[in-house]
Amino acid sequence: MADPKADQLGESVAKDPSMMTGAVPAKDWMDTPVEFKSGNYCYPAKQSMVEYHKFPNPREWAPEDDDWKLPENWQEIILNGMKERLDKFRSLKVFMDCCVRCGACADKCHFFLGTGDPKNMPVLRAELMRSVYRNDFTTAGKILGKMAGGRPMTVEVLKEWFMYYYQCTECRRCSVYCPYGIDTAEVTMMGRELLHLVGIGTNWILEPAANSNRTGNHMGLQPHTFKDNIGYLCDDVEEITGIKIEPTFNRKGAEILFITPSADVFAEPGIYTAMGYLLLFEHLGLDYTWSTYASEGGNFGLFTNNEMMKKLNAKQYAEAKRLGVKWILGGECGHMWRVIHQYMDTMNGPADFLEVPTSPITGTRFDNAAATKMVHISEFTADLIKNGKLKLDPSRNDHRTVTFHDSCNTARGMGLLDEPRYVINNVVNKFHEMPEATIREQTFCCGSGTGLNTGEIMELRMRAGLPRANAVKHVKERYDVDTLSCVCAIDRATLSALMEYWNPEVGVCGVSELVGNALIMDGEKERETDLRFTPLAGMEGDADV
Amino acid sequence: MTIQRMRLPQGVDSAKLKRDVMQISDFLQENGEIQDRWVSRTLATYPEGGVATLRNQKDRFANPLGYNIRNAVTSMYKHFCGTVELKKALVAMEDLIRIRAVQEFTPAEAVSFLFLLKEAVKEENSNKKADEALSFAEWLKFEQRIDAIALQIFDMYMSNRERVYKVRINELKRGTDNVVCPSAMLRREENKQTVVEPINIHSSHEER
Repeated sequence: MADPKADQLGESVAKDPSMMTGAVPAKDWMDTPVEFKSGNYCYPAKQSMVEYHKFPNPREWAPEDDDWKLPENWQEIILNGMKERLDKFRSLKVFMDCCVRCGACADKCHFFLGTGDPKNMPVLRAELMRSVYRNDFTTAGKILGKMAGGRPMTVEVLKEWFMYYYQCTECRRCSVYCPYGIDTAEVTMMGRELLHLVGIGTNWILEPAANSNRTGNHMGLQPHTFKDNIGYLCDDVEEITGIKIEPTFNRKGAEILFITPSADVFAEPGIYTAMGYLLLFEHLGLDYTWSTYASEGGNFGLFTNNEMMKKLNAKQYAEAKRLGVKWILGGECGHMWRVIHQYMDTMNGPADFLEVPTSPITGTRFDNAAATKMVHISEFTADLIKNGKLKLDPSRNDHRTVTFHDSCNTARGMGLLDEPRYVINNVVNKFHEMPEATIREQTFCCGSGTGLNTGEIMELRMRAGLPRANAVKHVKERYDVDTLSCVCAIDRATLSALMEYWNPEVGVCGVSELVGNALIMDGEKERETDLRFTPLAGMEGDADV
Repeated sequence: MTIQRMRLPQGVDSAKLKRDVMQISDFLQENGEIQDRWVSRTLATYPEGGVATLRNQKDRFANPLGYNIRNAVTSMYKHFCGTVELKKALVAMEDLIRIRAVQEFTPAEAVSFLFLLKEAVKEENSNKKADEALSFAEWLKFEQRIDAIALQIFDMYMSNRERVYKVRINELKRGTDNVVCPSAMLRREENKQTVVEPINIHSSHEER
């Protein structure tokens, strides 16, 4: 039973001005229906995808139609689903009860800042669910209904959930400012889980998840293709550096399993980051292997439901066990690290068949990864640099003026703030930070995470990415920054589009690409270009491009 | 069109047109509240519940939308006050138009906030005594300038719309939707001509 005081406070959420910002919510927000029109929603999941995952209620449906072809007892399904989750996840129960509507989060969400839509204020987005919770799961709400901020679960509410829980990238910026630490991302996660119970999901999430489940990666690349793609990258590396690299795949007995987002293997600009990894490992003579089965760092289960997240995450550990490696090295991914850092141990841990990761080059023991046995490439590289194990020529990045975007998941999800900066400062001469309130823990999201990086909502992505792009614009104008570096594959894809719209002169790269440019390899030929075949500073007239 | 040939609205003193009249720049400077009204009405084009927050947070990084609305409106206002060059005011205006081009507005809604200045001036003017009010001739000149700027910002709007389409096409080409050979070496020759460039003939403000 809910604490009556919390209910009273909850009532004020819907009606009173915010204590902090003075914002007065529109009185009739509950009665303002959502309007689906081309460009403001993600395409729904194909029936075949829902069936593949064995999710309930597969069917073809369209958000713009009045009739979503919901199962007859859909309200019962949703309310039972809520009950189950309130019992199972203590955090959800707390987040439903403890908000006091201080308003600290109201203007912290990039979706609100880009749209001005009050339902994108984290407090109100959570209220979309909290109102139903109050109505059906609290005494005050059961008696007083709307007077206590409750409302019944109707089709209109369900449609609102689909609209706004897919206008949240689970970036958790709001939770940094929340005095209670309410994690709105977890409210969004629950909202999406509940929607899946009645067959409502998006194709951009369920199809990659299906591919990942089947072949090991989002694109559905089969083992030979995955291997060939990396082979092409090795050819490019050889052309640029003169160094021939022959990585191994699925090699049993390797010391380390390397897992990175598959976008690093097939899509620009991630492929240049992958070339950086290849050069780094060759430089070290690292005993590592790629896997063509655990060939995806990303985990779209995080954007779907906890069971899917657990299943996709388990695959990485099953492969580590099968190959008999000692520990896992993870590439530049965002949400993979949130899954690893916050959920892996309780979902699939303990990974006691692995060892606490120890760098074979420096001897550093990564006790921070003692539970998950997985080390981030930036931690690994920073340790190498700190111990003087890398030969670097930062002037090879002099044709770039660089800033760094903290990816939400690595910054807020695992506290990886200084390591990438330490690496960048050692491989780049011209580095400038964006304004303080837009980086590190307070970083602004790229605007397209959590499976929202799909083309049909491009305008929505552009407005959600406005706060990030606005900060980049500032350093571009002040310092002539032309390169936005990051440690996340979704960022690399989405920031490329975001920059093309807001700051067309700014390109996007991974930190390991900058490392790859700077690494002085034994026996290499004189470098004339960077890993993109772009002439290095001073080489503009010499390179054959 | 000349003023003498126009049929003047009822109540307009034709003799007043020949006197020394108040310039629009002086009028706007003396009635600074028009600027605030213009900002408020532009903010009011956004959903009601979020407006106060957009108005109150002044930091340009914490609230880029609110900042750009204020910046565009005040720059253009200052231009009409005679203290900011049109070129500079248009840069601020383009920053805002680029935002509104990807928000949920129709094309008309996206650019029509400029006409809210007309409306605010007209309201203020109607409350003034004759010697403090704009002359009809001055009003016509002012209106003509606004209309010319409206056409320019509509061009900006269109060039930004075209840019969004280009962004979407180029994202497809980068390969997140299609499995393609990732080798830059193999593809750089093949793909030399495939990046879609802006084609807007009006895009004088487009950075190329």
